Amino acid sequence: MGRCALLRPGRRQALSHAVASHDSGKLISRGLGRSYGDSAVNDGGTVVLHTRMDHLLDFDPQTGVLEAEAGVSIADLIAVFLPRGWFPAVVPGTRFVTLGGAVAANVHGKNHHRDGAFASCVESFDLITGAGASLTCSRTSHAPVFWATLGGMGLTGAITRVRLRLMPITSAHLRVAYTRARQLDDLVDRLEAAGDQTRYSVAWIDCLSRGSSMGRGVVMDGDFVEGAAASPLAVVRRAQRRVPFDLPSLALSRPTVRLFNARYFRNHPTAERLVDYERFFFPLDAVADWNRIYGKRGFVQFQAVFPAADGRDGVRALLSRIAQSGQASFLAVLKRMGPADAGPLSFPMPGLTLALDLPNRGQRLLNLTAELDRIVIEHGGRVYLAKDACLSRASFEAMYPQHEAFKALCRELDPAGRFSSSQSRRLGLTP
Amino acid sequence: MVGATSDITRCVARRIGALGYNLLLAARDAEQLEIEAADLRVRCGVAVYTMSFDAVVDEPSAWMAAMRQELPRDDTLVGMVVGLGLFARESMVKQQPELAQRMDRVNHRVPVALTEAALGVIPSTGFVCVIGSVAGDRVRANLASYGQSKRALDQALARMRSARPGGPQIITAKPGPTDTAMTWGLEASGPLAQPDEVAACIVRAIERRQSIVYCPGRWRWIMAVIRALPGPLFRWLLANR
Repeated sequence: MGRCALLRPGRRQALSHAVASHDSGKLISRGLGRSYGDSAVNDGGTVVLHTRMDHLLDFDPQTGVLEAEAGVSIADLIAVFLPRGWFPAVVPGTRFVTLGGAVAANVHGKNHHRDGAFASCVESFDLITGAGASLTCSRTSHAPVFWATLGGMGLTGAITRVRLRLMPITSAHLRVAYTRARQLDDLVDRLEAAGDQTRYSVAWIDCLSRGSSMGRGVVMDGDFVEGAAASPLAVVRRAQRRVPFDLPSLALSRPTVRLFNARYFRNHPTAERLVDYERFFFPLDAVADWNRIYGKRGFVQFQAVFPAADGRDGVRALLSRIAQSGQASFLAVLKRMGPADAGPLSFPMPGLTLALDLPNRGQRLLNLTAELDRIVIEHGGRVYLAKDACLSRASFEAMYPQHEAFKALCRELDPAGRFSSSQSRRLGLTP
Repeated sequence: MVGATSDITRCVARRIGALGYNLLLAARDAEQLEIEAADLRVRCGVAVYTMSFDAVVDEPSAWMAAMRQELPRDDTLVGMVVGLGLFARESMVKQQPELAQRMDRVNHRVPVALTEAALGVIPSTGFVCVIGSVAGDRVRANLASYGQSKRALDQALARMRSARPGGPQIITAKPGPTDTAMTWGLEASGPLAQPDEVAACIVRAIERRQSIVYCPGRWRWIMAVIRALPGPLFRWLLANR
């Protein structure tokens, strides 16, 4: 990776100025940097940090609609609004993401099958385009730009403000039903049985199990309960543990992951438990710098979605290929997704999505992900751009058939080609 | 909160607002001031007033008088935080000599005049907290004018403190290098503190009615050592870093 310039404007004028005066192309916005790949990285270009534009602007307690700058994090939002009985209607697996990032990746959470992706709670947002225009985009105004930006990975412009609907809650706790499944079909049956009455539903899956127990796992179905504790709306303040240094790569070898998985399975018998929102939604946030357990070489995430009809076969093909490769993944998640959004680059589609970590083993990893990508394409699926680091242009184009429409819109919004990222150039989305 | 749009002061405002105090924000950039005010209203649920203040042109005592007129009758002024700062390296001052004077005004004369005016208004249980800098503790050649202005501020506040025992608490906050717009892009010789870390330290000092507070606290010990260094050694260390 080469170097890039960093800007951190604190005010909107400074941001517009940065966009307008940027003549060389290669400009991309960045929130809290939780995209796993190179979405907010700009080799030889400029990255604009939005983290100091983090003001809450307006909140209507009648409707639950909040207007805030794009640099506000989900964590900040929860800290301010949970005690008042409001929670973001869609949260991803970490609370350390900004609203702008959540829009740009159209993030989804454990309730996608029922409530949809982040788009579903976004009323509108403001965007500074490459042409220097400031657009307020919604379902009724600049609708094509609205949909292209949701999942557009920051390529349509810099998101400055977001208006989103929060969800009323009466407690910070969820009642979660854990159900063990002995193999994949069993697991998927249970995920599908959860249906629309269960708000949150997700499964942990053991990637190392093979043969008849391939795809064994634990299904977690949950929903917020009503006033469950003495102070039901208290923000959880748990001391964060840290990983102080990069662990040796041995730490995540096959035997240790096998041990972890066996323990996880054992520790989650079929039962119901009361769990706080942090433990349920953001388990990894409890360990700061958890990525360091993968050592200096790091890892990539691989997340793909398969259409409902081909879902089981696709997941089975991926799992057997990964199990065969012996590349241990200690966190794998399977989830059922609901309807897709209109955005040309939006990831979700009705079906099954599998997400897992793959430790970086250099060329061996690239060979593996290329094969996984091929399996995904064969089954009509696609890879999540917020997690992608390895996809080839050809594979990307096969997965996202609307990419030409997206490019055409970007050329219209940004005729000088100011916005691009390392990822967009790799995927041929921008020159 | 004077200089309310600065990175440190806005974090202080968020913390004081969270304690339930109504806030009056003053700064030069009117648009940003309204954004800051909106944030504090939503975040803390307190009343927030705004007023324009430009440290380069506004006359502090006249401004204080106007500010008192603006303040609603039900609100009593219980404290003031002054977070004004202009920063330039000495190499810049060499090219634009008027910067030295302007830094003296913004970093020293205006905060002192505001403090002077506020002492007549704020009850003795209240406070005035002025954000200075560790740079005033030991002036270095490459930051000579900046350091001088912060040093003069430090000394003036110390004089006012001893002249008025029993009055409102006068607090000099001395942040070490902090990750703000002011230091963005400058080469840092060590880790930078986050603005909210500094703000937490300042609010604690206000609650404890301290006189001088280093933020974060470790700077108290670092500066004690640096102040004690003999001149030649200090300069040699700077030159051979």
